[in-house]
Amino acid sequence: MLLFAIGISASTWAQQPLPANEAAQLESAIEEQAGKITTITSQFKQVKHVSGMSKDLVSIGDMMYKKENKVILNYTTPIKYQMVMNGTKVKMVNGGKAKVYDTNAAGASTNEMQRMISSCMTGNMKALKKDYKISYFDKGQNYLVKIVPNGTKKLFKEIEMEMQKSDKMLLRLRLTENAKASKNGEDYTEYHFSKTQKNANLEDRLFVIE
Amino acid sequence: MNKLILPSLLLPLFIASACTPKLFKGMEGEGKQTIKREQLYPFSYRKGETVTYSMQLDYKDNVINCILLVEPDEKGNIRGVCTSVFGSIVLDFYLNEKGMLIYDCMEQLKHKKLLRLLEKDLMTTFFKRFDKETYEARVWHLEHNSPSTIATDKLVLNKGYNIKGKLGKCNIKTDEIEQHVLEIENSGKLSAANIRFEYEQGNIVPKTVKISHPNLGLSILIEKYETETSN
Repeated sequence: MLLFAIGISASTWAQQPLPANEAAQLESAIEEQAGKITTITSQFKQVKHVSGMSKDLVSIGDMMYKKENKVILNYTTPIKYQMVMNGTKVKMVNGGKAKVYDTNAAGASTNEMQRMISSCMTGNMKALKKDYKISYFDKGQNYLVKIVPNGTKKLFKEIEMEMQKSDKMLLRLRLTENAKASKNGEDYTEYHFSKTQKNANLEDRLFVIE
Repeated sequence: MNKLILPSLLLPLFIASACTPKLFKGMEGEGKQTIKREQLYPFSYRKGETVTYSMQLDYKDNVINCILLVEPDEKGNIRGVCTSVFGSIVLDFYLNEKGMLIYDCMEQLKHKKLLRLLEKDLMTTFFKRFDKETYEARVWHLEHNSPSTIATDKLVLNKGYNIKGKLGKCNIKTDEIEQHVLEIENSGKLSAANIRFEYEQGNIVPKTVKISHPNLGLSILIEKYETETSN
């Protein structure tokens, strides 16, 4: 019984909603930091969980971001694959072959994906506030931010961001997909970031899409 | 009368060669036989084993790269998921002898004919279309005289089987030395496919599967690789 009570209190403590004033302060702090960030480089581990499968699929790579909307995702394991996003253009490189798309032509989902990646990486909550409900939680050493879309026709059911209290850098990002009627349980993609560096010099030529 | 001798001798030969599928060219026909499913060397995964493949779909100038995760359940049926590099689901499926159950798939794949084609390919690739214990098959074989054995001691290198299942007719070529299935030809108009299996030494599960749809200009390459997985 005691263990059960300890378990309950530990789990509730593990994820305490922040009081409104603290949430507002945190939001300001995140946005202030977002304003100072010009570039981010990081290594990431991508974990894809599919309900019904006993194992997850893990990919590893590195990421580069440059303000306003330039992103490079370099996947190294298990497949070597590169995606470069620059404004409305997206380039996919695989096996030395490159393919360029325009996100305007590719559809709203690609645009939304790009907006979300940029916003989540930099902590630019302003860009998301219009379409998402954002709530903040205290999680010991870290803050947890839960982002839920206002409408139903969204790519994801929920987005979770976990960031370090000390420097507000993103440690974990989980994108939970809308549940399918045909399946029991939810699918999600989770990113774990490490060796993150802010404001390193990233030349524009890295993001050029021709 | 003499004029008819040559054609009458050649006709059976012509008919025999015309009826021999291209896959079995150079092989000797054995006629119709009842064969056991085991003779096709169906491979299966160990229970609890999750196998990861890379999957490349090449259609005209478009190349789509995916990751395919495959695991058997306690009945030996296949639960599989194919995702893009970025983790979005391309096809989430379950294969049993009855067919392919789709849990989820990307919008671009939501066409009946396309899904039927993928069902046939995946059912064949993972040996779920061969559900009967025995088949009535037309059989071919290729023998080899081994220099190390006496002249009468012939070694069967390959066997060829033409069978009909619920997904249509198919030709199957096996490697009798390694006891593997080498190649399967699915009949059909658009869904006609050639599926080739390649193995690593001593492994019963293929390392590479090459699927070619000549009538569509579509090819699919499935390659096994080791990767980090987590629970």
